[in-house]
Amino acid sequence: MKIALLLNPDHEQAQFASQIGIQHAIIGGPNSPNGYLEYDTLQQAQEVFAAHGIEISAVENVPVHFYDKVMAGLPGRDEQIDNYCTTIHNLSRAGIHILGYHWMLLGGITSDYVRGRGGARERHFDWEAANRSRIDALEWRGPDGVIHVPDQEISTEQMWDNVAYFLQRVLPVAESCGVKLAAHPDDAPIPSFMGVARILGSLEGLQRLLDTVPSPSNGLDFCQGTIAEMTGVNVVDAIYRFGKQHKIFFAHYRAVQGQVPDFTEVFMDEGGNDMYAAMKAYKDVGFTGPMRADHSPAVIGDNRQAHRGFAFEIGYMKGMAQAVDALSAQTH
Amino acid sequence: MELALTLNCWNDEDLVFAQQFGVNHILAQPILPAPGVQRWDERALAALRNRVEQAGLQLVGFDGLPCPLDRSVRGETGRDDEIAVASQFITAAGAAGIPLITYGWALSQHTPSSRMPVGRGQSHVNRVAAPIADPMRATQTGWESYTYFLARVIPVAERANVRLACQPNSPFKPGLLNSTAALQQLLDTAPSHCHGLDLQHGALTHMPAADLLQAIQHFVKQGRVFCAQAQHIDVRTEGIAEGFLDERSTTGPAMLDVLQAYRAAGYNGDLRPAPPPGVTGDTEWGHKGHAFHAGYLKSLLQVARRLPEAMAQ
Repeated sequence: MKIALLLNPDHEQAQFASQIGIQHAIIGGPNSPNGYLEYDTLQQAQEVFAAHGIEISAVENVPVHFYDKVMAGLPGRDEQIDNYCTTIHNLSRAGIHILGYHWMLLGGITSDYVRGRGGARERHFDWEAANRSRIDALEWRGPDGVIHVPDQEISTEQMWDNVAYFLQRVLPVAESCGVKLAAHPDDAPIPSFMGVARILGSLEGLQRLLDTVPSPSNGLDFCQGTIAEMTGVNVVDAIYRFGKQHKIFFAHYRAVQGQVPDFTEVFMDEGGNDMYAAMKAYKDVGFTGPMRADHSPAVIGDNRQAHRGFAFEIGYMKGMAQAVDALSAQTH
Repeated sequence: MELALTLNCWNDEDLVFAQQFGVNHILAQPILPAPGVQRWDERALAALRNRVEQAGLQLVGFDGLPCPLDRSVRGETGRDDEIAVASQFITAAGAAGIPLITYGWALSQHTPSSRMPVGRGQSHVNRVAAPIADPMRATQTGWESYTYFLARVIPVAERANVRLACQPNSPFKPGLLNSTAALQQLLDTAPSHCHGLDLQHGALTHMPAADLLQAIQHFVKQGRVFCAQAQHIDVRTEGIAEGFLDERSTTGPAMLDVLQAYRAAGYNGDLRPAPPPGVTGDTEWGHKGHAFHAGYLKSLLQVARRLPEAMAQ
């Protein structure tokens, strides 16, 4: 697998990443007034990273307002889908072959931040508290900073219709361009929020997504943390389940304590999940795609890019990957 | 086997840093002065220990003596003054309940290496152009002055109940103790339960992997390894350079094999990372670099601890 970091195309960030041994970058989709990712912007980003021996392995997501009407099933979605196909073409031209997408109209949901180990600031979710929160209290609003609240409720079946409509139109283009679409599970994984269904908050939902439009380009952005948050789910079993289908295109490595209705993101070593068994599972299923460090608890004296937090996480991941390799070398 | 970090314990933020990354064992840098503390007496040392414990951490020792040993290493006049200062410090540490002090038998001003941006991603690493021919190396003079030092300092350590842990010499700190034979000679010269090794096994990375693992086991089994340090030293024809711990050299063992060697031989002391290469925008101490190394050793130690369970999976 390729250990990766979410990075901005910036020489200083790229140099830091290369120093801690990163050769694979994930970028957020750069905004554009045209409603699709521009080839020139992607190509320039490739060049910045290439100067530091790094290649872009995936785009995490496009700005939410590039596809909000598609998610909500509103008029104008066909134009957005056309633009999405342009994005896929441009990615392919720029040599990027994985496009992640978050099917979360309301974005990620956090109820608050709590003080964890040594007072580090950790993301926390409490379902009851989240339900009491005001819409403008949503912490993460997507890359464009806009809160996308439709003026009507969206049922689960409507949401499935909307995602099927999307996949049926974009997957043939993705296949012909050699681009894989990787769906991120809904974080927090709850079935609906503020009247808007969240269909990718369970393993059944993820499986249904894959089965709805079978395609070699239809797969998952396997956010290990989100899946570990799902009630009753064993995340290591889930890696085997989807990995054996070769549907993990891209992974996020993260540890969580607790599950819905109450969980907290913790440091990778804090014992929230069996991180060794998880790393071994990715290796066992032959996963070779990018695996990025996910959000880390916020530590003292860190910069805006959380270099200390990410340095710890990347070090942890590298050590774990080497441990898995060393043990498999010993047993063979 | 516990992960430890060497840091400036007078700095509150660094204690929090260690706590947040889950590193509970601390080695103190011999740095003076703190506000209101002018010398290393028992009171200052007790205050330092107290600060670390207040932060919920354990002060396992001092990483280095706060005084030079140049005259002692050279066997020159004035070495008795150095020995008196070192002895005073050891006695005060014992009285303050600090059980371990590491030290290097090397000249403080002897720096054959330069810090250059030649590491991974142009990180700044210590580098020497070629192996150093050291004047002290394996000469009888060298051992004589070392024996003189040990004969005076070890009884002090025994009375104070402080364990002294000597570091191997490396291309970056050349000296007598540059082979496993020399390290064994040292242990045999001073067979005290208060004198052993700070096994900075990076200094031995010129050895083939199997020999290095065997050497670790050899020293640990004698019960004379008091402290350990992981360091990556890359030996190439064009020079010798430090690097990040995850940069395994082609001839070196996997880090997990190293940790297993320590554990299999019964080592239950601390392991700390070497000072990291300098990365972009980091502090002088290297908070980003230390975070990277701490994370790296954390996961490997977690796996090593659950062996052989992990192997059975």
